[in-house]
Amino acid sequence: MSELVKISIDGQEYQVPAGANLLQVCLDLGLMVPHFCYHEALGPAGSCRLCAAMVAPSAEKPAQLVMTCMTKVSEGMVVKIQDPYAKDFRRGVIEYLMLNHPHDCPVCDEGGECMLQDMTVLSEHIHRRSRFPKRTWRNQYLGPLIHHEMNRCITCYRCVRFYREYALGKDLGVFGSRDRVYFGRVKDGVLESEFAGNLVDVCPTGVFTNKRFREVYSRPWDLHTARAICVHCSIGCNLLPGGRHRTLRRIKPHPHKELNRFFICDRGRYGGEYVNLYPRQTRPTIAGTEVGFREAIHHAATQLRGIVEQHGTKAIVALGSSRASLETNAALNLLFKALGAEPQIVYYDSDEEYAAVRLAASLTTSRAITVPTLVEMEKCDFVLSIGGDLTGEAPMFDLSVRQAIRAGAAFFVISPRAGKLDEFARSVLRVRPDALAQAVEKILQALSNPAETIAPEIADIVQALRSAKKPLFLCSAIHGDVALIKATYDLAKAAHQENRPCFLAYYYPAANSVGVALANDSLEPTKALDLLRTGTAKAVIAVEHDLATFFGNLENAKGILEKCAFSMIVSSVDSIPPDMATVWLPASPHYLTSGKFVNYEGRVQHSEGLSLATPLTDGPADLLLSLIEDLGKSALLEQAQYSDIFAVAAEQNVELDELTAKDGGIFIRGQLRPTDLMRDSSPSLPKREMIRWDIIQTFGSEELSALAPPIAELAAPARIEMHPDDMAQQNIAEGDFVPVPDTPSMKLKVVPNPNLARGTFAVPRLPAHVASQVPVEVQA
Amino acid sequence: MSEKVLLKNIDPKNPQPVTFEQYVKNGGYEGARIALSKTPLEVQQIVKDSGLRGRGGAGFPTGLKWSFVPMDYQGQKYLICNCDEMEPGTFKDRALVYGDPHQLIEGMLIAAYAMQMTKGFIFIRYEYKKGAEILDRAIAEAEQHGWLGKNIQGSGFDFHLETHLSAGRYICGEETALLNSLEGKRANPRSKPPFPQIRGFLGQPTIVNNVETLCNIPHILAKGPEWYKKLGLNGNAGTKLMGASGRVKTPGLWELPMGTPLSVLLNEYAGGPSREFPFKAVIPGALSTPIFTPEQFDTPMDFDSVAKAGSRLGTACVIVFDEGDCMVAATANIMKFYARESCGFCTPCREGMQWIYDTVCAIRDGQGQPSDMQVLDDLSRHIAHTFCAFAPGAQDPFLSAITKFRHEFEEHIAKRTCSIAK
Ligand SMILES: Cc1cc2nc3c(=O)[nH]c(=O)nc-3n(C[C@H](O)[C@H](O)[C@H](O)COP(=O)(O)O)c2cc1C
Ligand code: SF4
Ligand code: SF4
Ligand code: SF4
Ligand code: FES
Repeated sequence: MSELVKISIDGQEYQVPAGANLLQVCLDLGLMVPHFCYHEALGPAGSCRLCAAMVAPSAEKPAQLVMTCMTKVSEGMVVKIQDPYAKDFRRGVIEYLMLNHPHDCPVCDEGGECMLQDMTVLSEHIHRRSRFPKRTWRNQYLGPLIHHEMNRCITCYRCVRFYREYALGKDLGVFGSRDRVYFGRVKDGVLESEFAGNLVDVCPTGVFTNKRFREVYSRPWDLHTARAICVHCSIGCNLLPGGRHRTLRRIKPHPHKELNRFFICDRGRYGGEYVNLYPRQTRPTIAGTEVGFREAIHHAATQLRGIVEQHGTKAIVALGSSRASLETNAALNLLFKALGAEPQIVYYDSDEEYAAVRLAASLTTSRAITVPTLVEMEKCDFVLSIGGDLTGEAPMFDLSVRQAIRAGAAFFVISPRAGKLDEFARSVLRVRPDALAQAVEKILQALSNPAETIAPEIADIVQALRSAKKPLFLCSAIHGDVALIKATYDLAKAAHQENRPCFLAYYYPAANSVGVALANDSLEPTKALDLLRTGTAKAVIAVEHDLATFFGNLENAKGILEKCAFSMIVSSVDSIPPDMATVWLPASPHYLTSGKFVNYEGRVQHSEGLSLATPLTDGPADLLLSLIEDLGKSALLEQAQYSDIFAVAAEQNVELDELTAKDGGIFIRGQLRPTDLMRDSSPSLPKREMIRWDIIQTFGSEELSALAPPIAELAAPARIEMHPDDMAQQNIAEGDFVPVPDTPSMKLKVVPNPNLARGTFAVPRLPAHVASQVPVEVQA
Repeated sequence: MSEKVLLKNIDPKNPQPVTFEQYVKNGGYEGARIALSKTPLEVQQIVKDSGLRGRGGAGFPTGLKWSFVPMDYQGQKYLICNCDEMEPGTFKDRALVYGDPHQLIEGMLIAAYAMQMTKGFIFIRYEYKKGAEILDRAIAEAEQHGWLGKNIQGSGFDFHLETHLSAGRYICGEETALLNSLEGKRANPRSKPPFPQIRGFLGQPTIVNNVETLCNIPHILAKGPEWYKKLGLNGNAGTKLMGASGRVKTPGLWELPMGTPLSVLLNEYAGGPSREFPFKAVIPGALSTPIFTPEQFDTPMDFDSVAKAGSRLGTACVIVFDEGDCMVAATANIMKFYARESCGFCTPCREGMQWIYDTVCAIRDGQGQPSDMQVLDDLSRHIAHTFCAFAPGAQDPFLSAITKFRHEFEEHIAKRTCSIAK
């Protein structure tokens, strides 16, 4: 803890940390000093001149008008916020800012949450004295996410400081000088940064506003809000969705001290709009015929009970969901109990994913590694990004790494394909997807054998790692590479020394990947497929899990369902056509239902549901519980209090007696033993000349957000990327169509990418329901 | 006329830049030779002892400023010559650069040696493009003769010098905005501390000195601080380039002893009023200093005396008004400059200058309202509290105009016309 000093503010004495920023000190004490350019994450700029107060270094010394944001507190300091001279100056500053500001407050889309309104009232500027014409600007088209209204600009420079200095973006800048300063792009065009949406919050006025929100505008105070957890990746950013009149209108970040401090990525901000689409079939069906919920549930209960009676306890296979809450998955587990059946639940789409995610999650939750918060990542001085593209796979990791880079961290990348962060890397190792683990092992070897000469391509990594004070490893658990997960763990362990903490974070395919990985009812995907293909299993239940994705495509899914005596889909989004299943139960989506999610750190977070009176009121967990009730097993429900994480976890057989609370967060401790997983799971990939690599795009690859119209608009077209040398070798020209590896029925256009490892086909990962809709050039 | 030091090689009738040969013939590079034979700290001490104060406008003691540069610093340090010279009415650095480029180069070499800086830039405004060419030629000559480049005169000291032709804005003369501009960034000032001496160009220790400041150095080294200290009047050190423009008979530039009275400059050198009207006002330090009225014309032109009389010496290039000049119109003209040149970073300056300008124009044009004076008074207070010294610089002439010539403003507002301008 830092030393405290005594200062006086408006006659009151306070003890505050020595050297702290005076403005922040005042704000933390609840003393509202008007300000604009200062932002807790961006720091002071000293440009708006609004935060002025009279400050004397001590009671004896004369006071001067200073900017509190540019002042550090010191012992004996005397601060007068309410001094008449300071108040007069602040009133003046607001008057100057309002000289050119439009007076359209009643209809302005920033109205009600506008910092300029607040500061104007606070600074007591009331009457306009200027009689001269206002300056006006032309606005720019900045893409589907952000609306530009330059006349409202008060030139606080926050936007460019966020965009350029903080997020290290390039295409938003300052132009002009004097009283004609313009904030925008060189020319109209979509803002390139995946964090551009934060401009909406960072801008104190309504220059940058949420384009989607303003399309169907609501006054902000008319919105229903709830504290939610983002469902679009494994980081678990805290959000504040706002809805009205049956629709979700917008999402803002909910500040979190350790995770997303003030910011979120645009997938999180704009992806939630998928909830407004509902499944097209909003009533349950039995074999394609619309029925009531009660009837559909009763039918399902009867059928399922019959199947167990007739075919035994192993006759049902279920697909759980790593993007659904713990409660939803626990309810599925409970349903098996209610039926007296053995839980056979599969959460993953491939054995590789099963192995990789479970191993990474077990390392995380068994505390074999030290997993950093986003804020801790920013303070690391060595960052090695391994096996994935942070911008697409864990967007806010990208923003945190940018902070580390700004602070001078040595940044390195090992990946098959160039990502947006590569430009900041001291060096990049471009390796084939099947050679990632070897590359990491090589570094480990060099680290542990100082005597050996180091291969030149890893020399700077090893050197930087040796001299680092706080190394950080970030490793993708999204591409199903178990060997990589293990190799990275070994490296981090070797780098971990007594006096040097070493951080490792894996990132996962979905928001609750870690949560479901801890369930011990998990079945390997091929086992589940076998049970269904061979007819051993007679019934299949899919809960928030796309069957077309699981079975590869719609045709396969149809074939399997036809074989089953019974099938049921519980889904909050359009899945395969409802009439393919015996029972279709449409569910209320995330953001409108509550539940718990376990993020990449093993942090359990509760997401509240907004009540918006949409046609669908029950979430997937509610529907499953109704089924259990219908089975007459309400007693089971009493055992499991679904609002209680301990009870949920108990159902999931997750050991929770060692739950730890760290700064208010609850962290889960799993009983999966990494050593067991390491021993028995190392499916080695067959050696192939060309290997497929999934591009995880920030926009378009994640199942739910991909449905949201603005995200869909930003998704890059489906394509196959190849290294130009490979193309030459195989006589493939740009624009040729080649079959997608592992999905030969689909052919895509080839695009050369020199920043791709040789021997690699890179294909964007597209959720099945999206893949069937995106304009694929040739679909056989 | 007193002893010429800085302008001694410059012949106003033959405006050709002094060549290397001529410069050396007149005793050039002697100061540098002496400097190289001493230790860097000894050179710093000589400059300190000379009493030389910065000629960029603020008059900060040069030797003291140099002593803030860390001498044990291992990385690159930079010396930058400020030749932005966009202060209205000021043309002193131009004379030095166009007339005697080697004098500046020698001064920079000595300064660089004293602070062990191996890289230097001359930041020069776009309108002085020809000056940059002259300097480039002189730099090439100096390199040829071993006074720039590696191992200068066998001393083991390296100094590489180049010119940077700026795109040009007034704010680029402010030393931290200059550094940003030189780095290819927007010319906005930086917050101080850290001062450039500690973190300047590219984050490295940097000294920014004015052209005239640097041109004094060779002479101080060659002839010693005691000689230098005696050049001025009343205990002031050195000579000072002084200029006059406006309503004077013979506008021009002269090298005079520091401390020469303003009235002497106005009447003996500038030839007195150019029209039938007596002098009404003078801005003593070019534009960005408070205005003097005739009661203050006896003030000696040195840093302390001008400050004591309520203004600042600035660049000592005076701008002169006579009784036929309307001070409202003059103020409008002055504020037009500041409104145009504001860098746009901070609120009171960015928005305030334009509002002042609009208001003063309205008053000048007979559109003024009584309440306008309150607006101007408010603005005149507020523009003192800005991010950099630009707006306080604008406040100086503005505040003194609306104070000392308030009656002219009030008359314009009352009569809705001007009865002064002739
Ligand atoms: C708005 C503004 C403009 C300035 N323009 C110049 C200039 O053109 N030339 C100059 O030498 N100093 C100028 N200065 C002063 C410099 O910031 C700096 O103090 C000076 O170059 C230091 O040199 P010196 O120590 O040799 O005087 C300006 C300052 C301000 C605030
Ligand atoms: S656009 Fe917004 S954030 Fe940017 S300078 Fe203007 S008011 Fe500030
Ligand atoms: S980083 Fe992940 S959790 Fe955070 S807002 Fe983006 S998608 Fe959501
Ligand atoms: S006072 Fe402010 S706006 Fe004016 S030049 Fe300085 S920083 Fe720029
Ligand atoms: S908040 Fe301090 S100057 Fe803007």
